[in-house]
Amino acid sequence: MRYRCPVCMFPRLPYPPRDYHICPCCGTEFGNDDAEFSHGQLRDMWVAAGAHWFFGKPPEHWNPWLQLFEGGQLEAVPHFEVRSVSAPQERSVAGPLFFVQAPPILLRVHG
Amino acid sequence: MAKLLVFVPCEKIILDDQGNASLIVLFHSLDARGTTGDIPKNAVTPKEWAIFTMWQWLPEERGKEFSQIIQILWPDGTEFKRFPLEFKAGERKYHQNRVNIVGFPIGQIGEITVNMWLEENSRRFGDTYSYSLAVSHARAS
Repeated sequence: MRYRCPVCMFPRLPYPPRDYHICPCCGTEFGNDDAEFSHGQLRDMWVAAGAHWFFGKPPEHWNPWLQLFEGGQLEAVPHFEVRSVSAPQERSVAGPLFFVQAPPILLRVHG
Repeated sequence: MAKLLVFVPCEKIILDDQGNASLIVLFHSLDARGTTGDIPKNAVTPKEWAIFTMWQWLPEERGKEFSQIIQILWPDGTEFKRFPLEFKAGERKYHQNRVNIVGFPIGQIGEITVNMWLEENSRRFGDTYSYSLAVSHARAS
């Protein structure tokens, strides 16, 4: 049985988040730290400090931001303005191609 | 061997009432700008995007079970995330897969590589296909 940390959303806690267990990811000690602050406040503090792994080596390919997304905490992630660039560097266009007289056929598209 | 007809990232895939897919904003680059200074090396933005693939089966492949693996690599070559999708090749000739993703890796400037391949019984089936998406950091104005 694995549990999810309610602070950093680490999904593989070996114990429930209570009884002074400590999350290896964000370092929250449950029953102590969360007696003083809410999970949201602890999350904000962890993020503000850089969202670093707390104890030992993080799992391979671990990413704190992705972990927060997967835990449904999109608003906790620092915001960056992003802009997709989709204009092709080169473009070729053919057409319009059309029938002089529309054929009397009912077309149905199958994707 | 299954033939790959389409493999493309886009911002959104929409389906009409009959389930026909349309792809919205095919992009090849992403400009990121930090609102509070530099962008950390491991930064991921909560952008929604998607990867669309379309396969054409040979008759002997229909009915078989496959996994389509999408692997996203940071510009330095380390893995960002892997998205496995289990599916069965149906009786129809064509098969479309849609992978919706929340989170785009923007921390490193360079080319994000999207690798995609099929597996059958955990063994690679056919070629690995790649697509590059460029990430740049815009200067704060």
